[in-house]
Amino acid sequence: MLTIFLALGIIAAAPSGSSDVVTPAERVIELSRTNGFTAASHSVDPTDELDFVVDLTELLEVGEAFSSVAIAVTPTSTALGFTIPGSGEYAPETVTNSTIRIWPRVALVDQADASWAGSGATCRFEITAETDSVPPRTWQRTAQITVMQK
Amino acid sequence: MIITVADTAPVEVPGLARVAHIQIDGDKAIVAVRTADLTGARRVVGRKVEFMGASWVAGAHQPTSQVQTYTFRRLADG
Repeated sequence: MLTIFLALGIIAAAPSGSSDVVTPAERVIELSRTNGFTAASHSVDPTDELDFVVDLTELLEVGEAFSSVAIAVTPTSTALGFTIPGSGEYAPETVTNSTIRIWPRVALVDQADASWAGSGATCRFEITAETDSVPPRTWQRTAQITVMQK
Repeated sequence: MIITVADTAPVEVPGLARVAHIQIDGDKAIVAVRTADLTGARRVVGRKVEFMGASWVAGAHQPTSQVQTYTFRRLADG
């Protein structure tokens, strides 16, 4: 009986909906071994709250997996108000063993900023991924999302 | 897989701005300041500045209409 109650507790505590989210291909950023920068094909409005998937599959060797992924928005993009929440409902999450989902956004106070007018601004963030090989391999690539008023 | 997001809390860079966003990479620091937040941009280039517990000197400066980005080099005694 105790086992049944524990199992029910785990099911009830599981985050609802996260596993149901399917990110469309236009918001998948595939990091490359050869390119330092990878731009998302989809641009966003500063008030959008959309998920993007960062695909690190190409960086892995056969039999390897990622042990950690660190995300750092560049200082210039941070100054514009571009952020990637690190905790809470919009925190990054693992989708597969080589893809992660992030929810970039522009801070509320900066959403009407002149930076987003016209062709907008490119906002960049570094992805540093470490593998479980011994010793670990480390890849650092930069992803880019264009933010513009729509 | 552990996923972390770097802290982006702003810090003060004396002589430049009270609100600056910094990324340190080895002996280099990239410092971005909104143009409206600048307090002394002309005085900082080429001078010794202390922040994040080290001494730095500003080199390259990349201005845009909204954000000014400076590249600082850590001084040997910093």
